[in-house]
Amino acid sequence: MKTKIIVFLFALCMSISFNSCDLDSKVYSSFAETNFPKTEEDARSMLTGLYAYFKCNSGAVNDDSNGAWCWPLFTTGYGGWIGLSEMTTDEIFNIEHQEIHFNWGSAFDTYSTYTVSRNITRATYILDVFSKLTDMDEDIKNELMAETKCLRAWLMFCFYDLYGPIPVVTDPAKLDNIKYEPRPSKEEYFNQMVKDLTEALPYLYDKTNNTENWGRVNKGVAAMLLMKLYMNDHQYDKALPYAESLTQMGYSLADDYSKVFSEEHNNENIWSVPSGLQMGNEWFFYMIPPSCAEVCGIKVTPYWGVTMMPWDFYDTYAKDDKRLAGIADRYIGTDGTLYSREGNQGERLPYGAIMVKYLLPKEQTQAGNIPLVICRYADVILSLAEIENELNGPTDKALGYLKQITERSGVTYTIPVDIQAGKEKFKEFLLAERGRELYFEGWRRQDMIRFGKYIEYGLSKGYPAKDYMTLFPIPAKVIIESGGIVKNNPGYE
Amino acid sequence: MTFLCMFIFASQLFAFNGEAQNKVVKLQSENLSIEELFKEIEQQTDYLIIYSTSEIKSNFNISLNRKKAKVYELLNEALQGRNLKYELSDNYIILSSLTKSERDQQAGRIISGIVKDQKGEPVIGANVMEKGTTNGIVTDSEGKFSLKVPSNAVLTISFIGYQSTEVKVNNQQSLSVILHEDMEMLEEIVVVGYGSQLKKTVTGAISSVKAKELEAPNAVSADNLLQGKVAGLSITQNSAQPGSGMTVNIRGALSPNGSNSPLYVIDGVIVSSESNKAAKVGPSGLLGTALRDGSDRSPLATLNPNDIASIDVLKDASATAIYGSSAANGVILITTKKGQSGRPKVAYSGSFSVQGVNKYFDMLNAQDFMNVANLGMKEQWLYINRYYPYGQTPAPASGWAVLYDESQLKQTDSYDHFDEISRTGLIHNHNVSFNAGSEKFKVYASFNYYDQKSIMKTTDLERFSGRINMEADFSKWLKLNVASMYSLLNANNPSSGMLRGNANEANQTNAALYFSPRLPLEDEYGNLTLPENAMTANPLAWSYMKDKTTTKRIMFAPNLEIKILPELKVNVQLSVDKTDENRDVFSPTKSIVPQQTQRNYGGYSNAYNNNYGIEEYLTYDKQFGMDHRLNVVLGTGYYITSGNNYSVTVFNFPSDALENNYLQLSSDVGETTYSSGRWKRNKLSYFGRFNYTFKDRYTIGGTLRNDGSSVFATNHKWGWFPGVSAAWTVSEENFMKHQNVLNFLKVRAGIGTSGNESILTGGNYSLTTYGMATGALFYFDGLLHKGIVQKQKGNKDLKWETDLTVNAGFDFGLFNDRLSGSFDYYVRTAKDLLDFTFLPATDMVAKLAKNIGSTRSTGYEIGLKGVIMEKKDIDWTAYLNLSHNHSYWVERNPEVDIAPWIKEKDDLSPIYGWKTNGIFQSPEEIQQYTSNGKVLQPDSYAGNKKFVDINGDGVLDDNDIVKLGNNEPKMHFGLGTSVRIKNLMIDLDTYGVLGRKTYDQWIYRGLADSKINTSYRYKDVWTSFNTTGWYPGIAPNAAANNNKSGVDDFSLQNTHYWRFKNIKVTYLLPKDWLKESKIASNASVYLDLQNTLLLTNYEGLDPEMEQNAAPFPIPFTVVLGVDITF
Repeated sequence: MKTKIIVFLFALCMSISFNSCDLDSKVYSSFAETNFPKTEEDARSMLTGLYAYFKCNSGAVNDDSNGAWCWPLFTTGYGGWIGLSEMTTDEIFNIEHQEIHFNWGSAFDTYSTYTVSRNITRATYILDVFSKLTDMDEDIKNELMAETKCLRAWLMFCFYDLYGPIPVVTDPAKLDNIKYEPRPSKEEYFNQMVKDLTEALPYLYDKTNNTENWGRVNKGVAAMLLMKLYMNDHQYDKALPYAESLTQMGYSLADDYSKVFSEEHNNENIWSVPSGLQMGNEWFFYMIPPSCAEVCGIKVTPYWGVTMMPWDFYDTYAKDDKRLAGIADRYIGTDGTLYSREGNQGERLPYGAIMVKYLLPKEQTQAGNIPLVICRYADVILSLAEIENELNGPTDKALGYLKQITERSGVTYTIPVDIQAGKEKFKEFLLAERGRELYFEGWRRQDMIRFGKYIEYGLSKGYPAKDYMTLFPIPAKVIIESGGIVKNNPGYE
Repeated sequence: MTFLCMFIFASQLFAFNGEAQNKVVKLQSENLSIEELFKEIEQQTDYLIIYSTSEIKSNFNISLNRKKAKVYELLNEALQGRNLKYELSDNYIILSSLTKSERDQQAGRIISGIVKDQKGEPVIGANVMEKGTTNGIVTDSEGKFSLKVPSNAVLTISFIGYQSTEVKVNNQQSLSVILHEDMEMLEEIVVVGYGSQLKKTVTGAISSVKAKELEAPNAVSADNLLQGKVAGLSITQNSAQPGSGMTVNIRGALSPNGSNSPLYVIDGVIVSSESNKAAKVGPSGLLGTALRDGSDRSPLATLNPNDIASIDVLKDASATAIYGSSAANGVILITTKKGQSGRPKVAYSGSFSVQGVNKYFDMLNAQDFMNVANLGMKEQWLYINRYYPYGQTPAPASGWAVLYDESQLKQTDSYDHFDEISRTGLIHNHNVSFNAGSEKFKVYASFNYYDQKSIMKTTDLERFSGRINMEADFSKWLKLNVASMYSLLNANNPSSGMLRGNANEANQTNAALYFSPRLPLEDEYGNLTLPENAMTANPLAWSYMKDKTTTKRIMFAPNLEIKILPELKVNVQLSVDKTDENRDVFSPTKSIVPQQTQRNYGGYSNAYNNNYGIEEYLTYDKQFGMDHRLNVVLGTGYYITSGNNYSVTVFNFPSDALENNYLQLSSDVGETTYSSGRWKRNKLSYFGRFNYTFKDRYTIGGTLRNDGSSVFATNHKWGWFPGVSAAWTVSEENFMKHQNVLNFLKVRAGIGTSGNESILTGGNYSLTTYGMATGALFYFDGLLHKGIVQKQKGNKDLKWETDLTVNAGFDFGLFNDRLSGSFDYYVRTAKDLLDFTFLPATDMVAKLAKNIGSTRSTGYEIGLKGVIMEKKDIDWTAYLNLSHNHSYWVERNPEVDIAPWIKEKDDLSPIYGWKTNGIFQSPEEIQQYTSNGKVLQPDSYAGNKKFVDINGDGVLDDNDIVKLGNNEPKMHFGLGTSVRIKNLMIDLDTYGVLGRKTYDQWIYRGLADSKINTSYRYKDVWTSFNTTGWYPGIAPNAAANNNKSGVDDFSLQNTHYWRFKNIKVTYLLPKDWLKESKIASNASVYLDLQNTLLLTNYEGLDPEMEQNAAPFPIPFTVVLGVDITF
């Protein structure tokens, strides 16, 4: 018997030491570091992943990598770059988030906007991956790297606009060990954006309208970003060559304002956020009131509609302004009732007018398939007017640019006769016209700040605006987690 | 798999011994001398026959009945009536003569007796068997029997539901046998994992709950039954949707980001905690949040609670260490019923329940809704234009818009939509069990049909489940135990409930609350009414939607037991646990829900979970002399857990007619969404345990487990989990024998470690991975391109999280166990906490799985059981469980800074924020609200909260953030009693929580100015027309935007509650009556009232469901049921 036990125990020991179990780590439904990224296709798909943060729907790239749900830059919801840049201005009133009307303090939490800045580092990583690919066509590689640099600069531009210079990783050597670093100086950050854009510019695609590259950033975008960077920095002389270069790229104003928004490849459009069934545009979701069935002559599905154009801004349009065709002071409800500004106002019109803007053919009213126009030639024309005024005063040339816009809208008569009396006079009308022309395209906040009217506006509305509110506070989470390495903007400390 | 082969080989070695005496011997003739027979046996077998020729007259002739027989059969026959006996010992047969008493015993005689239960009632139909023979009889209607047996016979008396007992006949003429109920036997034994221990020698903190205490005639899953039953086990119901999961945790939640739910082991099968659920089918993104996931499914929903024999809860690490790496949150061991030998028995238990809604939120009726909406519009107008009280300018007499005009205000009809989607719930529960067996083969089989039409019209659950548990003794050394289960669950489960504060989430209960009370849900043609506000859905939309979840689960757990020596056995446990979940969704064109254009869609999603395991363990259990007892377990296990899933959603079918049965009908390819995934991991383990007891009073035990897992980085795959414990049964000491108050006292202490890998389920965080993130796509020239992003950063140093528990306690019995109980104090420390550390906002990904810091919980538990009265006609017992737990940080992640107001060693779930002091009732009050000479909230408006400037510096900032409390309740308790008066029994079970910080589940959506209904409590809101309201008004509070904690104490309450879960009245049909009618041996009928009473100071709907703002309410239930044993 004892022998048997010994045999048994021996067998047991054998079985313990003799294990053939493979405890290797394996992943099945993702790529792992062992096999990715290796090829040009891998790098291209990572670039597409970067583009995804430039979407206009709030179904953001949403998984663990962000740590939290985040707002893509161009969502029409309140938390994206456009939202923060429009809803804090005179153009827009947000009913659901009234705290956005200068009711923010040091605890105003924009982390779900801020966290998108990780993509600056992603861009740095993608550039690093591209640069290490050896068997790739040099021209294609240069173009793809230029796109990546342009996207990186654009991301940096948006965050600079909201927060001022924030810590970013642009040096590939730092990718392996990323730590919180103090905020860079304004010059450092500014020069990095300029460097990326100027390096990218020669290699980017020319005009992409009606090409397979529509949707990709192009020379027009890079030039426009450079122009805006310098303008916002009041370096109008440096902005000028980029503005002028844009006039040579083949873009032109559409003959009809509404076509800009209903025809995706219109020659006025330099870049718009594409959309499709898998990546909808939420414009109508945020604009169309919950009881609305028909507005501006198009049938619509009722939505949330919490974003209105305040009546005092609406009233700056002349009655016969053609652009009003896309802004409604009345609509037909799902119950057939006519709701209007002067009659029964329903639940939304008391707050303002409805921005339809995208007057699509009736069959396309389903949310989703409309591009969101971001960069267009009309902005370039207005910028040229502004630059000319800043550099040379309200010259005929400046007025000429301005008139291109007012003429298309049929309201040139609204230009004050004494507009050429002085720079300020010209600027006053120009800012208002920029608002009317480019409403809800994302530029209003920086325009108002550049013209020095932002805080003034906030106070005039009775909002608790403070002088330092031209920048948003860095989210408290970033300040806390960095252990004070990242300092908040003045006024929010 | 190498282990299995080894064991089969090993077992063949031992088979030899058992075979010897069974070896067949062939003889030349039936008539031969005894010596010739011995010669043949010695030649044909390995036996040597030894006898003393002086004692035994050796030369006699024998005449046998056969030529060919087994050794013992030949010997039995040859020695019959010769006053000789033989013994088999190893390879020897020893012959000797019978003593006088042995001679007497061999003569057969008639013995008679009576079998009774503990209460003195005769047991009818009990089996009385002569041990080792087929000689037996069944007791008659008076419990009596008589049987002819030799006087050395041993009688085995058995009856279902009772513990079998053996009686030696000896010289007795009549026997009186008392059978003890099975429960008592179970009570003595505690399942500890890889075996069981006598309760009195247990050294760890283990609570056992027996089937009898788990009776709830209509519960879907067993976790529901455990509420309040075990000290230290807190179970919270977040939704009462049938089959939905509960938050279960043992001794608090220590892992800030990981799972804190315990490990479930069912009949030796380690049930995976993976939650690979069938995903939702339907539109995604903001434009399609219409169809949410149903609520979490309980891992026990597939298990028929009627099959459970006992549940043992291992609480401290000295006990859980045997389950090593997955046992940090405690282990719940579930043992299902086993067959018993005796006459076959069939038992039926059935119940019928009627359910109703106790209470739900009171919403405005149509008239109030319209008035409030109009007032709300005016209030907004006042605020936006900064008229008084929101500014200095007095408001003009007109200028605001109204939502409802005079003619609309005249409407008298009003609709309560919650009424329309709820109904009287009905539950049928039928359970048939079959129990049969001989000593060698026992079987328990059951079938359960459970059908619940819940209180919500669209929510049903139906379960078919079957179980066969078998136990076969093939021989003295080979035994097979098989537990097998199949379960099919069909559920209609539209989502319900939402997180507090997420009012836009579309689900049926939410929709019913917010839908305008002015409108009926359907017009006379059956068309769904469009909502007044597109963001609220018509709650009936869910009624036309198909959202079926079918869950199939098979569990198969054979356990082969090989007895090598009487004291040494080997068990081989195989386990298979497979769950398939299928979701079947179709939303017709009619079911328009918000944020979705009018279109239909449908699809499927599936999730497969597979768990396979093999474990082998060796158990050595021996009593050495009187004083020493040793129990040793050594084993090894290998486990594979895998899963895969897929789903597809297709939009825009030309017709609703074919539902989702014909997906190819849709031509809308561009919108079709699909996904799939797969994961797999494995684990190899070695484990061991010993228990040594000296003189029945000193016990020491030790446990060690070594686990290796594929999810960790190469150099950190293996973890060690040791545990040691000791107990001293003080009451066994002589100095305790002189008193009769304290009849039992055992002092225990233990220390041990166990692991947690819970955040690692599914993922593999040691690797950097890249993949398609949700929404990582872009269109170039109208063509969809898919993007890949870095999803996860790998951590090459990732290792096990280890929990170290120190536990000390005592068990006691007073007045002959009339009052018994236990007390435990513990300190549980989690080290190398598996958590996600937040990476700098400049990193590509936001978080990294890491071993971060350490947390600790301390607490105590008291469990008391009392027998207040124990008489023939009256039994009265009661129980009380109390537990307190406090969890806090010991060490934090040094790389990530925490907010300045949070302390380094703070509570795990502290609530920090500003204190409030009511609201500003008037604009004047704002100017008067000063601190340190400064107006504190100059930008605030009337109706805004007043914050307290704690430090009095005149500024509201971080320095005014104070600790407001802690999410953990101060105390959980369970309290119950059971009274039997003759044939009438009353059981009462209650549970509750003391001192928990909760937020009011206030259903409030503005002042109905968006045509979304709101609560009757709008009357509490401060407005220009209600300047005495105490609840904050509509104006945003600029001051609050400097509060970085984002929290204040305005609606935070210190809540207590006490829920009466069951009040059950049972009538046991009299035995006499049953005896006469001869239908059944046992029968009872009962009436059970569930959730009749909730005592609380909470002002919301239900404090238990605080997290959920439109929960599926816990219904009031009346159950009628019957239990019959045939």
